[in-house]
Amino acid sequence: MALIWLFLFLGTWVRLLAIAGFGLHHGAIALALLPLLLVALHQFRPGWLQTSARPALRWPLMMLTALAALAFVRLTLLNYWDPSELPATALLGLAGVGLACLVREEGPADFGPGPWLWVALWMLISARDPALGLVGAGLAPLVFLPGKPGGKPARGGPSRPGKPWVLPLLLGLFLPRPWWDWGLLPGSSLPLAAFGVGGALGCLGAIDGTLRRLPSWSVLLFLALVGLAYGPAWSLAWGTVLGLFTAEAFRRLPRPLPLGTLAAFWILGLVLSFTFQANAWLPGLGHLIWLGN
Amino acid sequence: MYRTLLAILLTLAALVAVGWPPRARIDRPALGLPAETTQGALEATLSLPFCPPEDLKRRMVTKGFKDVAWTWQGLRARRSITAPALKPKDPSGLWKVVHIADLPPPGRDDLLKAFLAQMVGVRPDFILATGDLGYGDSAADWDRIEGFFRDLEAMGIPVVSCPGNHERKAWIQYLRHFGPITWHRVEIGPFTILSLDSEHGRDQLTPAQFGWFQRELEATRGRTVLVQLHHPLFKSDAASQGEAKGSGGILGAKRDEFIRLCQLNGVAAVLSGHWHSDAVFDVRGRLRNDTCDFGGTKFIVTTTLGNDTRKVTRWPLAYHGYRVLTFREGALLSYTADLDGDGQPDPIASEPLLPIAPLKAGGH
Repeated sequence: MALIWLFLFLGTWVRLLAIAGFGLHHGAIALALLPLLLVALHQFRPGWLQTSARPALRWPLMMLTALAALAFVRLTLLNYWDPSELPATALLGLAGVGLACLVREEGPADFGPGPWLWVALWMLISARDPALGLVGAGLAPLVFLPGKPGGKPARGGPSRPGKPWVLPLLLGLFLPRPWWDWGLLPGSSLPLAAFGVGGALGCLGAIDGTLRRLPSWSVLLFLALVGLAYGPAWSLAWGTVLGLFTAEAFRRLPRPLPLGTLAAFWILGLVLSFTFQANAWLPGLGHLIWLGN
Repeated sequence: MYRTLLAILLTLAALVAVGWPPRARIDRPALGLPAETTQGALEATLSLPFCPPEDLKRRMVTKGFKDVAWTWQGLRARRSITAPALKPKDPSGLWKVVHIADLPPPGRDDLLKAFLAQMVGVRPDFILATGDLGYGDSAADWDRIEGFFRDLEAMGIPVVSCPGNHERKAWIQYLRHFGPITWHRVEIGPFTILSLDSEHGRDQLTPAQFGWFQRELEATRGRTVLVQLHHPLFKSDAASQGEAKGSGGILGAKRDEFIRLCQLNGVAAVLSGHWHSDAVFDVRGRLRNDTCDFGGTKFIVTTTLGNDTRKVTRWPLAYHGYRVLTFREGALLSYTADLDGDGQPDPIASEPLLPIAPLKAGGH
């Protein structure tokens, strides 16, 4: 669930905010920012939101999350989300709150290629409208959480887990580059779908075995180098390789996953990425990120 | 197996739930992206994949769109058309193109009306509107701009536009009125018009857009190519009167490559706004206030149609205006105004929207 929450919900959420110019001056935006508050709660009160302790809440919450995400996308499909429009913004906040409560759970399929393929599918579907990624996020608990709560332990867990903030920060910086590159044209969806496929491939035995031999620092280094090397002409290969290394790096994260840290640095990376790509009038930065002129 | 089946069923059900009843957003032709005179396309994004709504089918038929072909996504309907021509006209005849940029802000509708009145006399074949079209973030502000474009279309004058930096401050309204295709190619008569999105804050073309521009330029052999983007290409540096409240911003990365491509592919003119001031540069970046007759691509900056006027280069005149470019047999004949009334166009000057004090002959 965690990677779906990060990539499909928080990723799409920041992308929609970026398209809307963040719109922080609108009062209604506070509702859309509620999930951010819960991210902070994850960090400081991790047990508070755990629905596994309250099984009766799980199904209603899963249904509510899915319905809120569906209703939000139904309202905004083909017409874009304006943060000043209260009903849509409230639905987005509601879906985010529901997911934030459910994300701590790990379903039986959490460590296989399933969540990665789900990310790939909804990144591809998002070619039509960026908000569609939220449908994938909203439905994910219904697909991945039913069954016996708690999954298999992470395979090949590292002896020294390292710093869990590096991976989400790097991904936040590099993964959304196709979004900023293509804008609202559908060209960004293929490399991001390839990223999901790459992640799924990374879970396959042979590749998994090869990647596991790499030291943790080199996985992150490769990930950063691949992330930097983005170009629209080779974006499919870029997405696939980035997905491979991300799957490996994700597997090496400490368990239980430090969700607050992951989400905070992923969002920080996304916002920084947007700022860097937008250049923000800082000399040289745009050239550096695009491997420019 | 159970989980895979559940995922597929939920995905299909969700797509129907958000997309039913079938709706379509027509992305092309759209406001600022008109139908083409020869062959063109209709692109629509559908709320339900592969399910165009009935009213879209009817509109396609009545507008002469044929030969449905789905794009790679299978999610956009694209049809080649056999020309509902905007205005049948001899491509080798005299063509008149008007260029505007930096439209009047809310409260200055008098300038829009003055422009519309003048277009009745000028009768351009089409208008290029190069960004900073709207300023407010309310739907009413953008309805006003849409109304202005529709008035021009009702006069038989199509408008081809691209976004500027101010559009980014009300991006959702821009997208809702103009659609998501922010860089595009339009063919009208002998012209290929490449409109680019030089993007707020970035002031540069993204890699995907630059690659698209390169490919499109290479496919324009034998046509008269006009390029429009909001940010000018050259620094006002030596020709500067100061940065004029930061409006001295120019296109960022890949500028040299951009200029080289324009020169190599014989682009007739690259049209920009943003400075609220007139300027014309040659391919070497020299401000051409000496003559309007020089070779190579002309990099033309047109003053504002109705926002604050500024002096950015050494060019001393500042007024609200627009630019008229005339072409014969696809070649650029003139692109500046005759301000001193000597029968010869003066360098750099655009057409004043409102009367200005007459200049002495050769007196700029």
